[in-house]
Amino acid sequence: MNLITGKNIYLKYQSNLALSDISFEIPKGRVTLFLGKSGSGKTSLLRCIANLNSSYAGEICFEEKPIKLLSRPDRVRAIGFVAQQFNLFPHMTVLQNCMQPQRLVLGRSFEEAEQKAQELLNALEIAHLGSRKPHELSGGQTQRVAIARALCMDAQALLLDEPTSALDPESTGKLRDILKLLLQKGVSIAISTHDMSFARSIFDRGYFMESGKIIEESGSRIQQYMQH
Amino acid sequence: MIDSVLPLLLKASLITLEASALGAIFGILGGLLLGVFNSQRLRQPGIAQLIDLYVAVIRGTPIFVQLLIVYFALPELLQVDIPPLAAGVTALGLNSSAYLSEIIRGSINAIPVGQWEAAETLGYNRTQTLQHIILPQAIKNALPAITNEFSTLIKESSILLFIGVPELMKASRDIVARELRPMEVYGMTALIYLTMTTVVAMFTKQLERKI
Repeated sequence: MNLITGKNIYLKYQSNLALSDISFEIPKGRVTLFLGKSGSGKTSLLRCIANLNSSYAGEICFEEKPIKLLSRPDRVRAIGFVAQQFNLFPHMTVLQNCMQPQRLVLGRSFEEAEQKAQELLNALEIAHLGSRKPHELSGGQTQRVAIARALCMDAQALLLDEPTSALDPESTGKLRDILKLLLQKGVSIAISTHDMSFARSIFDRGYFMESGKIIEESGSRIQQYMQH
Repeated sequence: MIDSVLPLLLKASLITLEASALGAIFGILGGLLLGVFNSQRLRQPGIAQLIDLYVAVIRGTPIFVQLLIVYFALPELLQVDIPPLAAGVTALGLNSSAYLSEIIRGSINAIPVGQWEAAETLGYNRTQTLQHIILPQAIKNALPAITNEFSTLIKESSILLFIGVPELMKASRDIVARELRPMEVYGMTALIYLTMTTVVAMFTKQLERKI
């Protein structure tokens, strides 16, 4: 069953066509990769799915409801987005980063928000970092906090934009383990990446993009591309 | 000489502090409002141009002229009586808000776009984003400049003597007219100003270290 679907997506940046006639599916409980070189449109597509860019033509739906029409709380419960730079709030501790969105957006009480945050920080093995500020964390730790923060909102699908670009090999391995854990918990995952060794290690299904178009879906060309 | 003059100057310096503090509060609130609505991501056509015009007028004219307009011209225009201290605080506040709005605007613009986007993807609305994510960071970055503005106001408040506010500069000028000892009286006055601005500077450094 598909959790997120996109049909005939077009996106223009001024006169440049960033996405052209893109249709895709992100099935429930699986990893979907968006592969391709820099500038191929992977990040633009993920930003459209996360509703960070809503000026696209076409339709992106979550469980058949257009994402643009979802209320804010419904949208965050549907889709979590972890940007390439992770974007933790630097003036808050790790725990506050995970708690404040729950309290403000989902209206949870302090105790409920804290319990949920602790639960996820524990699952991602970073509970001991709760009182630290983002500048005191390593790249891998920062990423895990960003993932925990998105999942604290009960996001059913997690979008990760170039998740390995700021990670060392050890942290990349750890990320792989975390993604497997999330899949077991039923979270659907979509990843944009040009890191082929990482892509190979988690490949389930995917799309190969070039110049804003999907030119291959889970086919031989993707296998071939990942060998390089 | 010191025994008789110093208490009078210290008493007047309380008025200086009162006018500067009230002017600073006015300036910070006004500067915050103008800075927010003139920042890159929140500026609205029309409102932003009005703010730009206000800032240009205030920054392009002497504070003394602004004070005289508030004290002499505004009451005539509005048909209300404005007491000297209120007029002084208003002029200081209006002047300060223009300078602070530019500081706050720059500081908001300097917050990485990723912070706005992270808040958006977590479901924050515009007000929540501003209140909980952007302003705490922007104000922290602008804090040295904001507290420095308080120092500037302490010094600039000396022009309130021209509309009869009994602040430090007016007290010292009155004493000099009576005692004819300009060196000692103005010397003491300068020292009191220096003490006040030094205390503010020390407070600023403490605050910077703390946050």
